[in-house]
Amino acid sequence: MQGLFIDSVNQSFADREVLSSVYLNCNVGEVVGLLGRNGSGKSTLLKIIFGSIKAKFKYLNINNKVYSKGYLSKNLSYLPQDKFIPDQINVLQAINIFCKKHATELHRIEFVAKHLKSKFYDLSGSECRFLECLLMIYSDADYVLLDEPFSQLSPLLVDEIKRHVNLAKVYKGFIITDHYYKSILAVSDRIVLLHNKCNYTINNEDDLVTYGYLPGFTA
Amino acid sequence: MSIALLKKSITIYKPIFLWNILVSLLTVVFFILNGFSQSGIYSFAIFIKLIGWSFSAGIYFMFYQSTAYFFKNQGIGFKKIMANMVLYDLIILIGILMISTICRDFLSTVLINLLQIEKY
Repeated sequence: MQGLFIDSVNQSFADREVLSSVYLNCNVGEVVGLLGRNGSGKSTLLKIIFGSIKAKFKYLNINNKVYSKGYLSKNLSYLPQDKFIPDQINVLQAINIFCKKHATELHRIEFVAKHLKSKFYDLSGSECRFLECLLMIYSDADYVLLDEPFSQLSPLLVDEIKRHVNLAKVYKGFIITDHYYKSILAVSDRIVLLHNKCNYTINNEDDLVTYGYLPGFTA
Repeated sequence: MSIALLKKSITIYKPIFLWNILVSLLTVVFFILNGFSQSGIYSFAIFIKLIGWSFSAGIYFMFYQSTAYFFKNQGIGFKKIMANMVLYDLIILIGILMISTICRDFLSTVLINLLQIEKY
């Protein structure tokens, strides 16, 4: 079974259960949008998949191999919410570290070509975020987890990120979570909602109202 | 052990690398000052190096918190970084010790002269 597959995720913080028997899968060639209210466990789920948080229980399978931590597969990239590339690294060095296979695609992007010699220290917060997003989208891994990739970005850059996700999904699988739900709906092939500690498949925007993610539901 | 990881580690943890080299040099000074024949000085030099390592392990860990995702995105965890760091540092220490043993007569003369200049 090729693909990323996580099942039976259980996690709680102190006495509060955040995730209960959560299931998620992602194949190469698809974008899975992960939505949920604040504190519903979206970021926690991504961190559990990547391996930076230890779940109470989980079963993680990447391309037919079981892993305790996703990053050990060396086939999984994760864009955290905060800046993660050290300031002293320049853009070209970062491309050579993360994107050996798809470096040419990155060099074609005007913004990247213009800042190849710039260190991350010299860039603004949103420029860093944009570059980190691009680096993860074109990273060498088959599966990419993007945690709030659209935050801090202007609408033009959000569209640019969506365009690159669509270009790269031919040879990659993406799991994206963000509060800009319209952007998530636009870029995703499939939507999963985290609600009441469980996951629900969303077929249209009305389902989001029904499950209480969007306002407007009256019983 | 990987040279690529060494390069990345030096780029990011440069100050800690320099600190470890300084501790290694200090340790070697004790060896040159007849540390091999005097067990007290010899033990003290080893003690300094061990304390240096434990300090640098703590500092690595503090730095690692902010760079964890940078390394984890390359499939590298804290244990692997630490193991590599200690290994590189051990190689550097052995290198410095070998060079200082070869040039021991010269270094001991220079060091004693320097210490005497300081004394007066």
